[in-house]
Amino acid sequence: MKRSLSLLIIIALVLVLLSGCGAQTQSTTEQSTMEQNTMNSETTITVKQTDGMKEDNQKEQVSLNFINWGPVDESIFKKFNEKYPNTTVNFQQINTANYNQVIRTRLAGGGDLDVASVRDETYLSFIQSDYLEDLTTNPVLSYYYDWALDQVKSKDGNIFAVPFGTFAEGVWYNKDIFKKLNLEIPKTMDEFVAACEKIKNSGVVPMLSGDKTKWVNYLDALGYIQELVVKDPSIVDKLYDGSVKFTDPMFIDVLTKTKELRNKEYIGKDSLSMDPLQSMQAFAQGKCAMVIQGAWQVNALKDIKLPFEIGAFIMPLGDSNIYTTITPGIKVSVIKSSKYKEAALNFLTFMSDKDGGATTYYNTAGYFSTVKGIEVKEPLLKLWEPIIGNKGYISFRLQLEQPSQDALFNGLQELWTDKSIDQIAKDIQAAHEKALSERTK
Amino acid sequence: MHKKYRKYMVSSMFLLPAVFIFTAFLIFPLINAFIYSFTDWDGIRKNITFVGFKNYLEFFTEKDAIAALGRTLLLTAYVVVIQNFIALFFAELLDRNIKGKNFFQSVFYLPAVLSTVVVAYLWNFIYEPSDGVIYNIANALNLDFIASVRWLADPKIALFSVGNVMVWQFFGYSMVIYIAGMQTISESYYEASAIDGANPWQVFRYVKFPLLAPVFTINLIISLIGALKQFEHLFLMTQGGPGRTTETMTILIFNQAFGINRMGYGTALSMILLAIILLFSLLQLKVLQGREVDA
Repeated sequence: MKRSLSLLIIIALVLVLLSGCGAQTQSTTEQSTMEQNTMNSETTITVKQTDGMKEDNQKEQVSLNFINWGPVDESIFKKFNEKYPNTTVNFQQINTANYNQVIRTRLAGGGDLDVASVRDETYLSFIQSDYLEDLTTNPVLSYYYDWALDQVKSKDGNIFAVPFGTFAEGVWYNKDIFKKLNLEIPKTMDEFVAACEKIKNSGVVPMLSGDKTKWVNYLDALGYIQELVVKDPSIVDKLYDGSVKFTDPMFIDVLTKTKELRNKEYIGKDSLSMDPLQSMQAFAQGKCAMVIQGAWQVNALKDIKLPFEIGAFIMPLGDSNIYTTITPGIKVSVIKSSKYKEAALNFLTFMSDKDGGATTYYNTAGYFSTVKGIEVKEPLLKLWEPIIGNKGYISFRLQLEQPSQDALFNGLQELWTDKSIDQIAKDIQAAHEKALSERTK
Repeated sequence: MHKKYRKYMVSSMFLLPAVFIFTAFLIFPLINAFIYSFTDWDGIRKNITFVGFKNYLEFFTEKDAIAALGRTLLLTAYVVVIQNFIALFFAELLDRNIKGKNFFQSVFYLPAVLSTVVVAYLWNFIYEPSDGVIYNIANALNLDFIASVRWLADPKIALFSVGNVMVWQFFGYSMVIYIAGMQTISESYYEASAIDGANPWQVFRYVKFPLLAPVFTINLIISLIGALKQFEHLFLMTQGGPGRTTETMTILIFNQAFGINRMGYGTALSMILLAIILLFSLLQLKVLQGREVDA
């Protein structure tokens, strides 16, 4: 009796253990649920299709897994379901800081992703690793402007993602402070620095920056570093072929001038304690006159009642403000290993169609439209219309691959410390050379 | 014999689920990681190349890695010493028949049960330089030298600011263990020392502290291991900045493996950290167990 009881307990324990490892079955009840996991900053929306199942229960039920770091309005998925009753979209918005880790893990694990946004710094490596579906001849591209498609072309001219939105880097500014101090929008970096001096002398912090987050330190140097791209659009290629180095005088100059902006407190000391969202909140509270950021910060500002009139201007690059610093937006790809490629392509097409999901997407996500025929309605985004519509060059940082990008960001953050500029430049170059040697394998 | 064998089989079967979980979630990933540490895998590519000891050799020649190790050891020394000192101090105060003893024990222990993420975000707010709790209190009291401190942005003190949070969160845990140890000490020792005319400090130094050696060993090892592998506080509060001044081994591992796609090198760093933790724990055990006295 005791032996039988022992055996029964053992079997029960093993069954409980195995059931925990088993696949989860989906409920067929219809609801739209949003679970917030604040620990991991993930938002999961599972939208399940309803009455259409009655008619189409003979066809295969498909559930697409879609991840993105930006928001996607829930109504888009509902509308997609109405068009494709057999397909549900399981959307996860993943925190930007963790995004690359999450997508890499899921791709390397041979997982379950069907559609995913891909960040600039990993786009080429994902193409090289054959994770992304080639869309070069896919009709979905016809929805997009040619200039937007240029932003998603690989080195051999093929396209592996659609460009969901585009941005620019520039300056948000407090128009009331500028009016009060009789300041014009600066057209050169010298004018920009002079404006900062005047603002500082009036007792206002000229700029705050979310420099606690490494990549944002790049924006402090934007006016100087992007000027190098304007003077020589192939400069990043030259960094990669070794004919230009981060230790060259032009880069030392960039580092020196950026450090000066900080030493003179044109960029407030509190910047190092803030992340980008905190710096935008401080700007929205009127704690500084300007923030060097990008059009993507519309989402941080649009629901706030600002106590001042807000504006945006092109960041001057050296001696002019002719050129915009373009930041390609979200690249959305179909994963090559997806079991539901046709459904994934249907979803991508739906999202690209202004009569499908595109209009709602661009008016809720806060991105500038890359799809033909969509009008910007969001007032804050309209401020950036002349900037984004202007000619320009892709941001220097986004032309670098991740290891070199990371080295640059580290170096620019180290400008806040006592480390010498020469040593910082040497360290950036050393890390870049190491990345180059591993790249050529 | 048959009965003994059956008994052994039954108890083994009960252990099986635990062994399975241990193997699946600890041993297998550990072996896997060890294998990856000898490759140049970037976490993305499907092709992986064996590179021998290259990743391990790189650690010893890479100045950022050595600097990260230095910071790890500095932070560990700071946290272990301060945490145990404060824990022992409060344990001694609360090992008496005083009013509110249980209340204070609970209050001091409470941070240890909070989520590290919550603690990190809470202290980010407390440390905020122009609107945080410390700033507002210091400002109200006209203590400009405190109000102007940039706790997480000053490269000279950022590491210790994070260390202070670690101490705050876990000293209660150590304190509770010390109190438990103090309660196992027989009253006869105190009576004997009272007869000999020992003052409170002498009682603590010559009677209590030596008899606390076993719990002292436990606390030191736990706090050492915890500090050496600390990640969440640093990642959430400073992300290794400003300018790498809080980049410890764990942050370096994360940045290398997940930040710049050097998974092979990152796992090699994690193996090195594991070896360091093992070495320190064993050394500590050997040294401290020698001074343990039976109460």
